[in-house]
Amino acid sequence: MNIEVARQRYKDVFLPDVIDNSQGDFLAKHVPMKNLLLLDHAEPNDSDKKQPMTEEAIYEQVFSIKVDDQFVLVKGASGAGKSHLIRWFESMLQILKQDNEIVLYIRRADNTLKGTIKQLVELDEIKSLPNHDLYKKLASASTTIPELELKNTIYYAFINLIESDDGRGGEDEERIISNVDRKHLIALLQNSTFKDRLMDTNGPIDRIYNKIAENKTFEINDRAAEFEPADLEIDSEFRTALINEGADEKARKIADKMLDKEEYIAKLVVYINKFRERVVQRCTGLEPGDLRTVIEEIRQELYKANKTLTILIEDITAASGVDDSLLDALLTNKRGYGDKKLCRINSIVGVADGYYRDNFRTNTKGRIKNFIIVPDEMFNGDTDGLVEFFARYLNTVSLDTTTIESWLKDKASADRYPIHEVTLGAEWDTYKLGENSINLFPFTKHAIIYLYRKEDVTQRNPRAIMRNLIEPYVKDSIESLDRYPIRRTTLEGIDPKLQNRIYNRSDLEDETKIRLTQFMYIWGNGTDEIYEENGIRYIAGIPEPVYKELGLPVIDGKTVTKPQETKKVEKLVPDKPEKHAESTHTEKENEQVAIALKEVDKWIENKDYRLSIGATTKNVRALNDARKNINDFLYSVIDWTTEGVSIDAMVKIKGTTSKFLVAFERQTMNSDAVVLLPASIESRKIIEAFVRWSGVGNKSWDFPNGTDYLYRVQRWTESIKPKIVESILHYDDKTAEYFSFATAAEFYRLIFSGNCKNFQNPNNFGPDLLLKKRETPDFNNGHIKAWNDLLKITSGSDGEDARSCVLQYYNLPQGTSITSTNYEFDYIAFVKAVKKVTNTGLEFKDSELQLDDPVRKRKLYSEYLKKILDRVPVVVDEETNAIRGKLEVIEKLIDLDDVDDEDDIKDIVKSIRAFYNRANDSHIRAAVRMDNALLLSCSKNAGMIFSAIKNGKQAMECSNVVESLIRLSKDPLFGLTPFADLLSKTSLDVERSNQEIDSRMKATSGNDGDESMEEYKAEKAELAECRDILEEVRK
Amino acid sequence: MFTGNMVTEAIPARVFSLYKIVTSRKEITRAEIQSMMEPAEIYEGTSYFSAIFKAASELRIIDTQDNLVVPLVSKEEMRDIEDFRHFAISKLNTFEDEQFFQVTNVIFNMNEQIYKYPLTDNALLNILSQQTGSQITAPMIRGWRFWAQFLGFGYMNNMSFLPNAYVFVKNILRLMNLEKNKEYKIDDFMLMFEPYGKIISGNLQPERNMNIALSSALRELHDDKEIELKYRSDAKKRWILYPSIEQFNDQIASIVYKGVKK
Repeated sequence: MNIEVARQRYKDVFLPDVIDNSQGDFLAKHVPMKNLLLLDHAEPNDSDKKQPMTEEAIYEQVFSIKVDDQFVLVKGASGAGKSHLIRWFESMLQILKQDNEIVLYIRRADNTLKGTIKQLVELDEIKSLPNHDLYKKLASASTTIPELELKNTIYYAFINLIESDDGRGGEDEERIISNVDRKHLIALLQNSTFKDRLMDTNGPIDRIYNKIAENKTFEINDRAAEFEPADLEIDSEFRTALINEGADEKARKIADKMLDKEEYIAKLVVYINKFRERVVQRCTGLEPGDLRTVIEEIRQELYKANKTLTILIEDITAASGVDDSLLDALLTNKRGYGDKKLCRINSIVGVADGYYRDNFRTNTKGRIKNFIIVPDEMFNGDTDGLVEFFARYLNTVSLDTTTIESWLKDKASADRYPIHEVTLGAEWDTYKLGENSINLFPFTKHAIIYLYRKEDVTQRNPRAIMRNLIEPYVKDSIESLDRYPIRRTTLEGIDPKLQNRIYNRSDLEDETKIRLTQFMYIWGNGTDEIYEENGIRYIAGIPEPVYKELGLPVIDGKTVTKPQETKKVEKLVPDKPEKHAESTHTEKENEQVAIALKEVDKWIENKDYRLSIGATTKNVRALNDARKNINDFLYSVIDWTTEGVSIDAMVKIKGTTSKFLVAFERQTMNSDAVVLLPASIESRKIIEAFVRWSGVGNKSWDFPNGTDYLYRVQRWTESIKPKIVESILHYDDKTAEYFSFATAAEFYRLIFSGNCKNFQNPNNFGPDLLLKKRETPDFNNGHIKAWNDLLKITSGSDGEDARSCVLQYYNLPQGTSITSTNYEFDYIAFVKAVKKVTNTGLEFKDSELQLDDPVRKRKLYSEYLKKILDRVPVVVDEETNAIRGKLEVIEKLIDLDDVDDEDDIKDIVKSIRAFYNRANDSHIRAAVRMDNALLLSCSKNAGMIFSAIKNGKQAMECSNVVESLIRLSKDPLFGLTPFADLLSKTSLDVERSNQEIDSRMKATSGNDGDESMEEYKAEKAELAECRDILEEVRK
Repeated sequence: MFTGNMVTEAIPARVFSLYKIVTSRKEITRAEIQSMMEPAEIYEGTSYFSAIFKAASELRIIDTQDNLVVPLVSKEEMRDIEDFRHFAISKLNTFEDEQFFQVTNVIFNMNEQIYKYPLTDNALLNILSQQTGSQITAPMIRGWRFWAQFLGFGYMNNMSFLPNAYVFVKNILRLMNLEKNKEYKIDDFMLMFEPYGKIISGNLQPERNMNIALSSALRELHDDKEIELKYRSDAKKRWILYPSIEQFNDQIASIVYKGVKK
């Protein structure tokens, strides 16, 4: 390369459209085409393909002196080199044509109709036409109209034409859509929302506008200017929008009909496109016959001057909208119109395969008898031609314009083809062109062929090669050699020996390792063979100074004698080298390993590549398995208890499906992982080791070099172990405290079930409380419903889980079981952890409960404890109120200060019994209401009642909720309730008895008053006595 | 465990837990320790306590005196489980004639053959029985695996033993009292190594071929820059590492001690 020239020139040389290159650049870059076909039919068959022709041979046949008209269609894929060929024909004609031959060359220009017509208008032959009106018309068609105006004209032209149509698309064919549909379609086209959509950038109107007036992109535009199904696709969202804006009913009806109906839409597209040509003609002011007339008139004028005409049209889509009439004019044979006196015409027209297939009318296709087929892969099998193509481009980039111009003046003769002076990359590979050598920097022959083969078949045409290979690599090399080659290509079917050697170097950065590997395999021959020639060492077939130029290290290797210089290049690379190499290679390498490593290489070599680890496809299943195996391995080999991690804590993480110890960076499936394996060579080695462990060793390290792979894994495990161990017990910089929460909850269960009533507060709870046998909860108690509800919750499955966690966390099992009841406690650690919990007083704020713990199995304990904590104050409150109620009842009737011991209770019960007995004697009704069982129970439980009064009072006095709870757990209500019931019942009965006596007294007054008075005297005295006792007690 | 037959129940964490209980009290009886480790009200099944107690006694970390259990190593000397590992490693050579020692040595010297078998595989048990001259059963080898992992002989991937005695050798280097940055001739080094590390280096002397466990350990220490393995062309005596394609593979003439990282 001549770097000084190349820096200035490379942008000019790499223009996508050949016509934009100067004549000199064009010829300097031109590589003869050798794989052309000349046929009388459009689609080549296998036998046709066996007879390829060179461009010279084709030229001789197509441009030999002819009497008859000829029409030749140059057909090929987009970018295959059609324009290039046509331009070369034109160049040759300019040199070799007869004097009476007039050559009209219509370039693709900016690929618009306007551009094409402008070219026509500027041709001398047209300017001199006698029909001035026609000339004026053409000239006005090429003038500029503002974009929006022209687009609106196009849009309304469609509507106008459809309105005056009958559903046949103006042709004498079958009806395409019904009249009703047509009217509905007009309504839809008139809807402003729908119009905006069609007029939008990249919409159909924009595409048509781009073809007629101005091409807004710099890319080659050989896409047809027409409607496509996607333009008319309507989804439910759009339909709703139509309804919401109150669109015309007809518009809504057709929109409904179009909703997700591909077939119907396809029909509409066909129908609308029928008007395309007429729309374009109207918008350009041209009429269908205009171009035909132009051509005819030219031919007549030339006939008069005894001249013949050759028309070269680079791309027929440049005449979009009038292409049919243009083709018709060119296909008009003078023999059929003898009276018109037309000169002979030879038309060479380029067309892309797709446009020919979809847009040429059947009758036009039938009239074409000559085809030049430009193959998709211009260099198929012709590696020398391919390298020459590169060499000429690279040479042209490094040649200044003066040199090229002077060569052009010298008739661009092959003998004097200029070769650039090399100022960069002098040691690089060269291409031999005749007697000269062209420097191939920044490529080598090997690289050219390798990179070409890596391109998709559809991208092996000259334009794509130039855009995708030559231009970017040249640009990279000009920008920086320190990073060249910067582009990554996946190496397939290679012998990984050299790659392993490079990757195992510990003194190189990953980036250098990858760059060196790419360079040695793609530019070089992918071996570590070294030979010497003329004092220069060649490594992998590349001279040592080249490595130095790129700042790449030089690998030591096996010294060999210089391989024979043969014309091997061509044979070296068979048509399908990858497949061949791959098949021979897979015999040596395990298939699973090769496939997985290919994917991993892509991942580490391309910064934006996402590693595919789904479990569905073959290539990635190995990676999915590897990830699983890596995780299983780590869970298994880490000695958790020695690392200070409880087996319970480890199992909680291991049992979380979405949680991984290790996942891959940029992997396709999201996962929450502790360690993200970066896309690096180190990671590649780890993944490779596990893929081999599974695929080659059948889940053992018993495979070739197993110990080396194992060593990598062991060392890597040691390096990530601290992070993994830390992660088991931590999240968001917090230590997971779920053992504390489970323990606190378990203590609450013990309180509710009455196991802690002998304690004042939780700080005194001992760890051994937790190690007691679990008792069945006793719901036969005096507690309120809310208390018993909570007792039920804590005795249920949540409570059982918490207890299990408390007992297993510090158990030391032999394996990873967390259900063993063969407990062997780490007692000291257990005591310490429990103490920490009791020190909290079993009180936790929501913010301390770690309700944000991402590990669900741990968070369950937080949520469970919160459930308890939320209910405890309510329970305490309600139960205290209930106690207060009972005490109030009692205190209303007796003075508790006078109750000093259980005997006082017994005395009260005794007096009450006496009341009922007396009532019985006196036939007072209260007697029948005596509850003997209640009296007996109160008498028997006098001690408990006495304690209950004391405990109840204490519970009410306590301000701390948990301490209250502990006091309430003594269940004072159990004693208070029957006593309060007894007292209130007796009080009621005393009252009723009083009333009864009073009424009886009244009933008897006046009748032997004295007697009756005497009769009840004793009862009244008894009652008075009883009341006195109660009153006394109350005091 | 270390004398007589190996057992499954006496796993290292349990032995250390027992020791911690002993050092937590001024006086404690065996029954009291058991009641803490195996809470009577919730314990179900056969007690493992005797086996654990025996292993702790074998390692000489506790003793029974006048019906009381006393620690033989002070609390300060053995603060955590890593100290316990270090201590246990220092005692291993005293069990040279015992089953644990012999089984370990056989397994180390099987090299990559060990990859072929899970530890409880009958074929392996037969090999071990033959070579040690005592019947080795599955429960015994299950017990071995816990200590092999704990003492740092290698990794235990389920029932597969993956030799690499990095942790074990690192502890021995600490026991050897090496001088930092001093270069030791390999024969001198091995001579100093053997009083603690005979369990891994025994039987290697005549051939001077190191097994995988020792080779990987030295390579890892070398890669971590805790030691430097050196090849010297003029050295008369050299030891040969287990062959590797990728790692340090020169014959070792001397070792420079750089200092182990804890």
